[in-house]
Amino acid sequence: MHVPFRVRDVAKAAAAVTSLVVLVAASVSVSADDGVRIGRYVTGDFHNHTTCSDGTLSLKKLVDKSVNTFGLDWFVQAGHGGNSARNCTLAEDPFEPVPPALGLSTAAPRPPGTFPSGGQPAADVKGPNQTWESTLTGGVSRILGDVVFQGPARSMWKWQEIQEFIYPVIEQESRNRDKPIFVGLEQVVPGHEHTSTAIIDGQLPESGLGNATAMAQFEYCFDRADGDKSRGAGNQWDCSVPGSLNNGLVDPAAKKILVPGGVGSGTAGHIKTVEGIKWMAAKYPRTSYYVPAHLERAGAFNPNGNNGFNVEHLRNFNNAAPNVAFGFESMPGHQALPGTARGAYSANSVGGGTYGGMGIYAGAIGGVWDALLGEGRRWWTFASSDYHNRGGFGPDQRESTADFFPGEYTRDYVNVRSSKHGDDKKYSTQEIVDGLRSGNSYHVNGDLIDKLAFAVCKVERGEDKDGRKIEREMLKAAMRGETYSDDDCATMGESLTVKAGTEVLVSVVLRDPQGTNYSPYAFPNPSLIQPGVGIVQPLNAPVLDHVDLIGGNVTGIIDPSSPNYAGLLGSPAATNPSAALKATFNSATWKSYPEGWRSMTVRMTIGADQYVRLRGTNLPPATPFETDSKGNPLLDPASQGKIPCNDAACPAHMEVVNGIKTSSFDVAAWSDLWFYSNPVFVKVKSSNIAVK
Amino acid sequence: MGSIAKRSRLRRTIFFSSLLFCSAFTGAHEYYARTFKIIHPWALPTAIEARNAEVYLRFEEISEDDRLVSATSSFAGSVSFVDQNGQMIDSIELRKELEIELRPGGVHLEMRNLTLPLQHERSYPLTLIFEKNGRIDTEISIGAH
Repeated sequence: MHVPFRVRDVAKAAAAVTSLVVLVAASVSVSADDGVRIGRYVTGDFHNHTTCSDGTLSLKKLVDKSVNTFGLDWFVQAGHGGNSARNCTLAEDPFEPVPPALGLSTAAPRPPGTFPSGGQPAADVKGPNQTWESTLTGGVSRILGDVVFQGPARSMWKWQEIQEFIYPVIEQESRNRDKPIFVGLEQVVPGHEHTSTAIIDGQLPESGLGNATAMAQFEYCFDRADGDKSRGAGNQWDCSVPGSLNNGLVDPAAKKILVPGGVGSGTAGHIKTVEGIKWMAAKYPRTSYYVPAHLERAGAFNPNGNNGFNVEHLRNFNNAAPNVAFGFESMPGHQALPGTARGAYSANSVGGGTYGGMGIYAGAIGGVWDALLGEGRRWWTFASSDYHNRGGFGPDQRESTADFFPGEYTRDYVNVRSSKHGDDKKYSTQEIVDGLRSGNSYHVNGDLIDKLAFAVCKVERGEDKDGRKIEREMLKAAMRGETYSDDDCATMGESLTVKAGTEVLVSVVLRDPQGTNYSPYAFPNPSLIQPGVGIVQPLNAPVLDHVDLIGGNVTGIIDPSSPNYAGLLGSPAATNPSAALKATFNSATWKSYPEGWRSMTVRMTIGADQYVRLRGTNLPPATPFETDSKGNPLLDPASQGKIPCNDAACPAHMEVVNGIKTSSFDVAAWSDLWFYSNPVFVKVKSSNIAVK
Repeated sequence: MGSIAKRSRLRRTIFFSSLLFCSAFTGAHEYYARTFKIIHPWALPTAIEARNAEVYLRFEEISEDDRLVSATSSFAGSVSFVDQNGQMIDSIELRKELEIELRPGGVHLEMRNLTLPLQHERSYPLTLIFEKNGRIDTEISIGAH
């Protein structure tokens, strides 16, 4: 069966690059001496679930979907902390839908409505929904730590799952597939909601068997849902933090901080969470990361419960360990849920829902993210699938009323700078974590773009006042799939230092890939075909409409004693009033090259420390229910039931309002696509503003 | 009706209070109302011919009293509330600072007249209406107990 997936194999990519180099060389006289240091963007996902928490697939099947079906380059399996009863190491039985089900048949060849997996053979007819207790040799005696039950079956604490069962499966998958695949954790955060995190120490050594003991210990010590007090049974862990004044809070028996519920639990929980970040920084400063997820979903911080994150908590995390807590997952998963709940956000979320799929902390110009960047904090945006299931559809069907698989809809493009280039383009788990930490990354929904070079460059050099050489070099690097780097430029996550009054060139090269993405729908995009827009564009072949350059001033780190350190959305603490839309590029202003390459530049005179960042979308400004007149994304719940899905091919699961099918679930998500880059900083030489 | 409702409420109160001492430590799949959390609605898969399905979930961090007064799902003709004796009840009370678990053999929700069998590896919408907190949209995860 032919499924019109985007072609990604290396041979075709190389051929395309070769042909484009020729084309671009002809038009812009590419120099043979590019002078670039080599890096490479690789795609991945670090937040997703299996039956080891509240997901629906085995470890093996989720890995297969992610790195095989959807071709991710790296993958972190990160389920919830706490405990669970199901044995996620068991592979699925052959998929047998219950007829009449929702369109899937087992007949070969599989029908167009399915994503056939590479397949995991049935293991003794034991699927991953069976319990640990019933499937482990030795039964319940193999389950360690304090006794806890999920229903009738005894649960296993996540630390044991990670240490003893999940890691060996993941390591084997990584070896078999020759890709960095490792174990993380979606921490259930004391005082807050969730965080995507990992400690790679011990995982995937160059030779021999590795371990995820460090990750397991973090889970025991600092996960709110881990109520075990056994010190990890035979591990006899101690969760104290070297040199911390809060070690007095550690329970003498459990050797970890225990936070009782009720009054003060949010505040006490936050203290424990910061201790966890300090613990990571003390013990695993290069091999760990801590990235809060779906920040706004649980509402604002609650000092007496476990809810969301305010800006001051992000500042506290970053202050505690800037090389560990360096960003947030501001584009949540669950993108195919109905518009009233896109991202699993509700009216009680901060901001009242998502905006073009993005949480308001990063989705609104001048908000929380810009406030953090305005301090000069190296604080990056990320996205993940948060895959649990496909709602009313099975895992091998292509429709979804809940989640998309890792890589199917959302991708993090992360720069890796590997010592193993040339013909051997492998990269290590350490290089993935270094790439996440670097800020040289961007995230994309629906394959809106698949290449990006974004740099701010000095243009005082006599030989390149018009910036054409920079453009050529960026095009060449991007076409090779490499990172652009130049001593006179700074790219995402970096800072360029210039004299006050210097003119800089902001240069963007990207590719709007030709062909189709993973959307199963070829009918016209319902959002774009609306009156007043009138664009007929297949839903599976999005076209980049425009790119926004957003910037703001950097005024220095805010001291925790300042009244502007803490506050809710919209408060001075959570606002950067200087942040603004600096420029918009579209087909009228960018240069177009074959095969979807676009190049755009703007000059800026630098009078003060500042940053610039990018976002782009397939939706023009003033698209009803989607974007405002300036191109800002509108609140997604407000679009629910408003955009008709009139095409005969609109699927049956669309929500019907007043007898009319409306764009909803996965169709709404495929209609409304965005990418976000991380920022480039520009610093004035005479400035004495300190940054993190 | 009044006396039965009072007895049901009493039974529920006793039951829910006991849960304070055996709280589970599961992870996520959470929904946030203004004054409480809803944790992990789930159900078992159903046979093709099944008409009804029980639904379980937990309420945590209840900071104000409230009452679950109705529920709907596009995959069921109706959703009822059932007590531990299998009797239908009008509503489910949420009491401040208690942790309330709807579980097999206890108070639970029941989807009636299913329009499709509930299948493993899937989730289905469930809308809950509360007296004070209004409407909360959730997803029932099938098999993920």
